[in-house]
Amino acid sequence: MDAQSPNPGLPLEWITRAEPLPPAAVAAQGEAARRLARRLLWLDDDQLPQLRGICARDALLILGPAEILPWSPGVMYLGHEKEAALLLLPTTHGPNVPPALLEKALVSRFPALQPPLAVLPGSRQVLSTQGAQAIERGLLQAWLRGDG
Amino acid sequence: MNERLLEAAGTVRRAIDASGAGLVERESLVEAIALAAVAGEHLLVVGPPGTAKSEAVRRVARALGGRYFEYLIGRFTEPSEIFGPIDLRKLREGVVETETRGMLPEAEIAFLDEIFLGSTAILNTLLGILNERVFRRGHTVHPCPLRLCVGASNALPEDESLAAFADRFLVRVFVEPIADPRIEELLEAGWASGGHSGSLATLADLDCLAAAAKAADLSAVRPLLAHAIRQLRGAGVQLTDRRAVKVQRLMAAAAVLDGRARPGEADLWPLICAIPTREEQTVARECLRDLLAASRNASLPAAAEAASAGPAARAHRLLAAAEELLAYPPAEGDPGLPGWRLKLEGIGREIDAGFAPEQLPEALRAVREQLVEITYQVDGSL
Repeated sequence: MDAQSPNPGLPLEWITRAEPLPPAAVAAQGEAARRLARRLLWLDDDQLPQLRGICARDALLILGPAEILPWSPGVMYLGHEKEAALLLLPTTHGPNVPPALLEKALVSRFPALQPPLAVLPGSRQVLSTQGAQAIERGLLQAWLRGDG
Repeated sequence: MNERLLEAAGTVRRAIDASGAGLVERESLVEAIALAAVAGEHLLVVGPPGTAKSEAVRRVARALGGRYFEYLIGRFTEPSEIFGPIDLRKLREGVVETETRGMLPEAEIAFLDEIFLGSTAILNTLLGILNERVFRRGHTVHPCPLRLCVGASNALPEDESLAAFADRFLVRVFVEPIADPRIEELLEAGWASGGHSGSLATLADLDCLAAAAKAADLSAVRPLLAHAIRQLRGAGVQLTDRRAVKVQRLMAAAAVLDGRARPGEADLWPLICAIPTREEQTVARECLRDLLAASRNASLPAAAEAASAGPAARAHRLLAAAEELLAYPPAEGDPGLPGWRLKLEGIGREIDAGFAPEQLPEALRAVREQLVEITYQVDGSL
């Protein structure tokens, strides 16, 4: 996975949004990610291909229509902000700086990451969603076994 | 609130629920129609053809009972097609009387599609019916029992004279074709639909609520409304004086439908419905965000949420949906179990995507905990 952590000294804070963004992706880490993967395996064969995803060693990022994005405890939903089309940001929290400015800063800070970029404030990670692939049952099972 | 009122509110609420069932993304339209009916105001729905506008009105009319009239107006529509033909026998005697049986002047709920295509003669006569509930044509002058007229159009009129006519429709609802992710749901609902058949409420219920709304005490909420209107003006959103006054009727109707005789801050959201254009409604929602945060309505949850975009209305809807599902869990092995779990999951998704943990109302937090518990049980069985 293409993932990088912003400078820990970045003076960025996340504030609760007055109105949430519509979800376009769901991310999870650690045990929550494994639970999310098991939940994905529970989806029908016609629903699974509608989702795309990125697997990291300890994290999952799933993209797709809001109505079929899975839910399980501990996940975080991300959405697109109008002013920063290249970023996926938490649906419930926004940065304390103009999103367009954050977008510009992240794109230039991480030239190796192909936008769009998913920003995960909890783990201070930035992921490129460029390589997201259709979700396959076999890949998910391998990831859960630790082979992914 | 007295028992008769609560009973009427419950009956109308069930009629609204049944009318909206299976109409994908039209719940708030159905609820806005009911709100307008209780307020004694008219509603204009603006959107492209084929977006279930007439079906929504037809269903509400059927559920509320009463005489219903609908007509698709064209450029060449004659007044007689809407108001009734001239009575030829009386004409021979030199009296121009209209035979109104089964036509708009005798309708209790009416739907007029493409309303702005009507001729001047049609619109002028309509004006009397809409404003005063009086039908005047030739020598015919009689009161109309009309409770609600819903007009529909593809777009708002630009012509100034038509805009003045359009101003008589206090409630404005803008509809769009169904969003891509819900097309399957639309197809399925459309294939199965037909809605409920008979009436579930009566016009007596509606009239009872309308009378209570008319008598409502708005003294507590009036300063809030005045403050909101000043804020709107500051943001460049102009509400005509007529609209500003009439919004109070909508707020009173919302409170009564929610089972309260005294409107409060939870009832400010109908103000958004009275703002005439889609763009201005968006601006208003944004600039009144704090004032609208307390918006909620048990009978009109979708309309309150759509108008206010507020967390209280959203939380209220989610809570009601979750409680309904959790009250009837299917047994293990029941074919409905996967669908039930999916619906619960959808609620979990809306909660987590829509509320920051620190924002989550206590009741919704408790529901979420139940969802987590159920998920762990399912997860353990995977």
